[in-house]
Amino acid sequence: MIKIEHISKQFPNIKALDDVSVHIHPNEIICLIGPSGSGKSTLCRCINGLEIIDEGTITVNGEVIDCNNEKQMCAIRTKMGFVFQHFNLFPHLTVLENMILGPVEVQHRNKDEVKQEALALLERIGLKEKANEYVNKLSGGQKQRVAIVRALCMKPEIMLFDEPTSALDPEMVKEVLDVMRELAKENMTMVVVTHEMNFAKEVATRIIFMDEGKIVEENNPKDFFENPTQQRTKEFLAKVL
Amino acid sequence: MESILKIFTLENILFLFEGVKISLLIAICSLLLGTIIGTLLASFRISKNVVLRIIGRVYVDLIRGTPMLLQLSFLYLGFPMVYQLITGEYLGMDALSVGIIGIGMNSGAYVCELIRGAINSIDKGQWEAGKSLGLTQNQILMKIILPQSFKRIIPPLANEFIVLIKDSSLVSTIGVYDLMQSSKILGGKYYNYFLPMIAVAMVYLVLTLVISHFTMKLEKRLAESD
Ligand SMILES: Nc1ncnc2c1ncn2[C@@H]1O[C@H](COP(=O)(O)OP(=O)(O)OP(=O)(O)O)[C@@H](O)[C@H]1O
Ligand SMILES: [Mg+2]
Repeated sequence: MIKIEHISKQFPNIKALDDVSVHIHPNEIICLIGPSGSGKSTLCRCINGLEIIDEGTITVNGEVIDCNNEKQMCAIRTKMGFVFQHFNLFPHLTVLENMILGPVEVQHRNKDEVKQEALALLERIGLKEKANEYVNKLSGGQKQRVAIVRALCMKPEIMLFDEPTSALDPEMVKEVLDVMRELAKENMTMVVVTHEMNFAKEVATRIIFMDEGKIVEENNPKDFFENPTQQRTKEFLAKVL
Repeated sequence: MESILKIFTLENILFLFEGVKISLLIAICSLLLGTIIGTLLASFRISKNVVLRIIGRVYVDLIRGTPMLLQLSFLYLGFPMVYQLITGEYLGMDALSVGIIGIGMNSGAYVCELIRGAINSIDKGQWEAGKSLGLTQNQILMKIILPQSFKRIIPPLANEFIVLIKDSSLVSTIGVYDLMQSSKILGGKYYNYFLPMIAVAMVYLVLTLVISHFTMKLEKRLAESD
């Protein structure tokens, strides 16, 4: 579904990605883990075209991404949902307006139809009564859940999460992870950057461990956590578990 | 005391009042023109097109880097000459229009920068969220960034209006009968510049203080609604 091949990304003072290759298959749930600054966010953002890669190719459904082609980029992004660490909801719009903006403006779908779908999604995450509130009135956990359903409203084929719970108070982490668990159950394809090791163990079909812009080790969760092969993986796990 | 009564007759006060009207007219019209030009320039300056960006940049630098008095004089005296050289036709422009166009064009550069400042002050995450939904650059600007910038544009724009009320006095140099010019005329008539100029200064002061008072109120209201 998505083929990332030998991509590199150089920032002025650091090589954030160094020859990274990942193939993402339908229904896979990939958890990206690694120490701070290892390039997890950058990888996630490159898939969505939010960072422009210097080398290598990213192919989505057989189509090579060209970051300079706005039309193609927009079309590809409608197939991907992106959830940010800091939510990035639109503060001048209500919850419902946040959700229908993309489907109506980009996919030119019928507004009433989209509204019904959006309300159904809100109902599922228990926020239907907040539909007409401005987003600044919500708690962090509620904001992030809205951000997730805003992305889902586009009916994406894959969801990308960049540390969706890192900016939340501890008591709100669970409500967001629960929504993600639901998605996992529905076989949504997901790439999740996370520091929540238990969540990764539970829902991932594959764990990718990165360090210094490189993929150090990848495996299914069981083998990854029980029998890590690389020294750096062992050191990292010893620290976080 | 005697000279006060002599100068500030009803007739002369009405004469000054005409000047106030002209000054306000110039300030209002050039603010409108400046806002239109400024919006256009700001869209140039943040556009992806290099040529448009350069045009925007050069305009802003040119206007902000030269005296307004020079720009006004050029438009009034220099430009008609160039026009005649190129087209062979005589360009008759009345001084008032020249004043409005000149000050409006000048204001456009400043309005451009304040719009750009407001746009840049919006969190970059808003652009990214828009992109991730598949919106184009223009859609993001129109649907997400500008509506949020609006609140941050209004107070400095009101401030620009105050600046324009004062700067409109420059049109007196090309013969427009604005408030400033009126004071000079009265002064000449009675060989007393002191009193008319004090009076006119007070009128300017009242105008700007009143507007700045409302601006501050507006700013508070906008801040509360955040
Ligand atoms: N826009 C940028 N400009 C310059 N350097 C950047 C930029 N974005 C990221 N970097 C650098 O690239 C490296 C990789 O960053 P990245 O955000 O991908 O790490 P990460 O694995 O997500 O870390 P964290 O767990 O802290 O989020 C870091 O050293 C970071 O400082
Ligand atoms: Mg990160």
